[in-house]
Amino acid sequence: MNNKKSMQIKKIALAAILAASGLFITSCGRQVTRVSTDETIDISGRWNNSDSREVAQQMTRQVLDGAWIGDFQDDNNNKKPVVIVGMVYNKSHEHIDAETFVKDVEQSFIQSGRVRLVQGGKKRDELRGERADQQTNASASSMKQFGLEQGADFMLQGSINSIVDSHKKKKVVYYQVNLELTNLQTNEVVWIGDKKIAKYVKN
Amino acid sequence: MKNVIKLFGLVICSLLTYQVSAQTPIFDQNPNYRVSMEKYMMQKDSLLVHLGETVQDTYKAFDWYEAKQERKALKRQYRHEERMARAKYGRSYYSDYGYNYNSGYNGYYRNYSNWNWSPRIGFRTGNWWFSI
Repeated sequence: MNNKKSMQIKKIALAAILAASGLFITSCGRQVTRVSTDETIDISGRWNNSDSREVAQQMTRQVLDGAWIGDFQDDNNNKKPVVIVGMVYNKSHEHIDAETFVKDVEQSFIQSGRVRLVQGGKKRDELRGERADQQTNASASSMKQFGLEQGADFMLQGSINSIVDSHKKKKVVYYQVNLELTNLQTNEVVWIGDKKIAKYVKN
Repeated sequence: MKNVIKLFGLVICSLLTYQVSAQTPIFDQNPNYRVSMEKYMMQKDSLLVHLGETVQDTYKAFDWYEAKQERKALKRQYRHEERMARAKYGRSYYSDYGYNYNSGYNGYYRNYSNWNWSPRIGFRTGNWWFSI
């Protein structure tokens, strides 16, 4: 009788150990949960996707509402302005890729149908390389010519700056992102957009 | 002489017609397009090397947990190396042997190099040390 009882206790103990170890193993494993890209999740206090999204939203709104489009069209027989994207200087204390929000601004240009966009940088070089290759390899009817690219009217440039104020375990991080459009013919700055972000981080 | 002049004229004419046919004028084409074309004809191969590929221009993002794991791994490796060196050179092995000439190969003498060490008692004035 006593032996039976001890066997039962042993069985229960074994089951409890197994359950506990199972729980321990599952809690140690990496868990990944998909979240919405519109959701703001701040973990470290550094630059993250929410900051990039906020900058993109504000810049897109500001650039398309700016008077520069109408002014240019008034002066140029209703012609749509052509924009090329230049450099964005990251002068902040963190690694920030401006392409995440600049691409959104570019997309808004195309989707709005009010601004035309031309390729620049390495991608433009690649296009010209392909055009050069066509001069000797493509058929005469499909070969693209040099000297017929669309010239840009404006260049979009930008800068990212930051200020960090910290004491003991507290920190305030301030980011200022600026994008500006300059007339390539006259060097006149026709639009400046900005987004300011401040974060209070407590460790 | 007449034949030579005729031949020369023919050559000039054919060259001119070739030039005209090669530069079929297109409306609005940049008159200096040849400069760009020649430049890109020279470097087209290098520009098109990565066509259809994904160029990996990545960076290492700071991950607190991963950094901690890396630090742990480094420490573990360092301890392992120290243990191995201790097993090879003896218990009193110092890992900074590169800077300490006394703890090199010969483990027998190195512990006795400071056998007559005693604290220095005195005072310093400028670069001068006065022993008492």
